[in-house]
Amino acid sequence: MPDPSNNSFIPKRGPVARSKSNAPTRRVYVFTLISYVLLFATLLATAGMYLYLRQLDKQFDKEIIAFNNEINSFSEEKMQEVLVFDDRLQQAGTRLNHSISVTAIFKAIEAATIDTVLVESLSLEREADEKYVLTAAIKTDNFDSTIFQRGEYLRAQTIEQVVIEDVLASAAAEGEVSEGPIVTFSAVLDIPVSAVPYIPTQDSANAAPIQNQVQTIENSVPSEPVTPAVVNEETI
Amino acid sequence: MIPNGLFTQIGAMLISVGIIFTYIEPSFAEVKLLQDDIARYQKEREGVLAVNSLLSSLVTKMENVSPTDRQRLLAYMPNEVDELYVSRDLQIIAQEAGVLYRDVKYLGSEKENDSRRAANKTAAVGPEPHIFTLSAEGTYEQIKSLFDLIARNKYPLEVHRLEIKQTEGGFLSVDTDLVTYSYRNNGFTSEEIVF
Repeated sequence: MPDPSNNSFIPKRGPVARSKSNAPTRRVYVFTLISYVLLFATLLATAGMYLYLRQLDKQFDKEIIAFNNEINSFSEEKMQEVLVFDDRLQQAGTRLNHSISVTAIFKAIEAATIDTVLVESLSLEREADEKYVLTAAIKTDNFDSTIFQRGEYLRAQTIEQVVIEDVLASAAAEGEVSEGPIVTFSAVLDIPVSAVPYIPTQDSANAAPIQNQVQTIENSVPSEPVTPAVVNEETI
Repeated sequence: MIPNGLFTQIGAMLISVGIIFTYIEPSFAEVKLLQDDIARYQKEREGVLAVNSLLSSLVTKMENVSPTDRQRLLAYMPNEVDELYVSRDLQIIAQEAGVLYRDVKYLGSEKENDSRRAANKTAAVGPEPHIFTLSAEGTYEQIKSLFDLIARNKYPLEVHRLEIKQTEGGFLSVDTDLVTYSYRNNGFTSEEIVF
């Protein structure tokens, strides 16, 4: 019985041996790979570096321009103006802080002077911005008054230091009212500037008697025309 | 087609190494330098900006001072002292106080007649003093009134020396040194401006 499979009209293909491929094989060596990778990486890095440098250069130029613009916008004239104004303000402030009232000194001396002494002469000398040295030539009738007077000066709060010197006791001259001896002495009193500050009141601020010197100011605010000194009589 | 020869590969390696050492490495140094410079410029620019802002705020503050206050400041600390105005003012003050006006003398500014300051330059930083002497006669109350008016003046008249003596007739003679000041410009230069 014939094999039914042989009846097929499709010709049968006999077993064939696998043909060997003749395509050439390509060997890739590690050294080759490294060399080319290194070459391309170097080229890429070079290009990147070149571009980055250019960008940095541009940025640097921009920074220089911005810096110069900022410097150019600084006005030395304005700075001078501000410094001069501030300096003037400080100088004025310093003098103002060290201004004193001579009237306050007189009042302090009045309060500390006892009834039995007579101030013959008085001198006052300012020592820098620290103190006034007041020297008073005083006459009294006895040593007790002198001692008491010294105590009063020592107790006075505005007086920092008291020195009694040149004490001299002498007989009363003819015509003098005092019957006993006359004691004369000099009282040297140190009065700190801070103890007798000038404190302006509202009245005195409004009543500053003189206004001048504004006309002598250079580069000042527009000043008023020259006017004679004005005295506010209401407050004097 | 990339040649595969050994010499080519070695050549490529050498070129790469050459490029790295001759361009890339120096470029890194240059980049670092540029970045540092940029950072420095930015920092300095911020400093200048801060100074400009501060100056601007100070100018605004200064301009906000009212003209009246400015005028008062200039009257209190003028650029120059006019001896005639001050002498006239002292005479008016004396008359207002009721004392008998004797005389007023201008002894000059400190720079003209005081060598102490010249010797001690460090002290010459404050305002410039101008010294006037005033002589008058009056009662004790009138003299107190005189010094009260002097203290209330619009510019400083500091009493630096005062002598009071009795005269005939129960009056007192007063002889005083009064000091007023003018602004001393300390001459700021751009080199001296320190922030």
